[in-house]
Amino acid sequence: VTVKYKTAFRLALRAIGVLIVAQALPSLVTALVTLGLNFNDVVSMASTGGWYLTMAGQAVLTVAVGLYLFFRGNWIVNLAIPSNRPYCHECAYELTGLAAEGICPECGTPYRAEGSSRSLQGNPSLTGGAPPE
Amino acid sequence: MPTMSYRAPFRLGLCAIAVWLVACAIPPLILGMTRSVLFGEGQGPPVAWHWSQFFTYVPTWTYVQAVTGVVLFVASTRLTRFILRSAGRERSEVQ
Repeated sequence: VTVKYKTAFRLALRAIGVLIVAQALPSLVTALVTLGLNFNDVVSMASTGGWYLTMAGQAVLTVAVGLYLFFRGNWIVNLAIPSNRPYCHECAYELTGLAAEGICPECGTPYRAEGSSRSLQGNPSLTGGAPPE
Repeated sequence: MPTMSYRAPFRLGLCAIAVWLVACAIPPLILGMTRSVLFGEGQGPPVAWHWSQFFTYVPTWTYVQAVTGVVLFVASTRLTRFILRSAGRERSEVQ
């Protein structure tokens, strides 16, 4: 089974999302536990309490970014590999401006379309890979 | 039949690194810029807000990291071509 480049990149973004969440969780738990245990003393904790609040806020934002990459990374994927352009199904080389049928100048794989840009856009093998799951 | 092309995986790897750089820079940027707007210098008497206060709560490195990520993402195609060409692995390795 060949994993198309668009799917592979989507999976890579999900892996980055997991990494970012995993990196932020210790800070988040530490800050929340500390603030929870000293909830009544947060005001009197002065600078220490503020530092833990900042730490918790940054961890929450980091987790949010990680969750976005995990669940909603399609916008970034489409930025990297736009769906409305023809691509070689083998190496993802962009075929815009080339003949509808020919040989990929990047990898030498024959590509074939049915003559119109509309058919190029509708062919998943020429638009960077498998359709979104 | 071609066995492998380096360009696409290399470029998408660069894009993934760029996304990681920007994603790690976003939380401190948002938090630090918000704090700089809300609290200003943080110490001493309140003064008129100035853009330089963005650097009070956000390290310069964070800005550099975010800009590097964006530039890397945008220029990934050209950078890939340059790197593979300089390494002699563009097209010549494709059978």
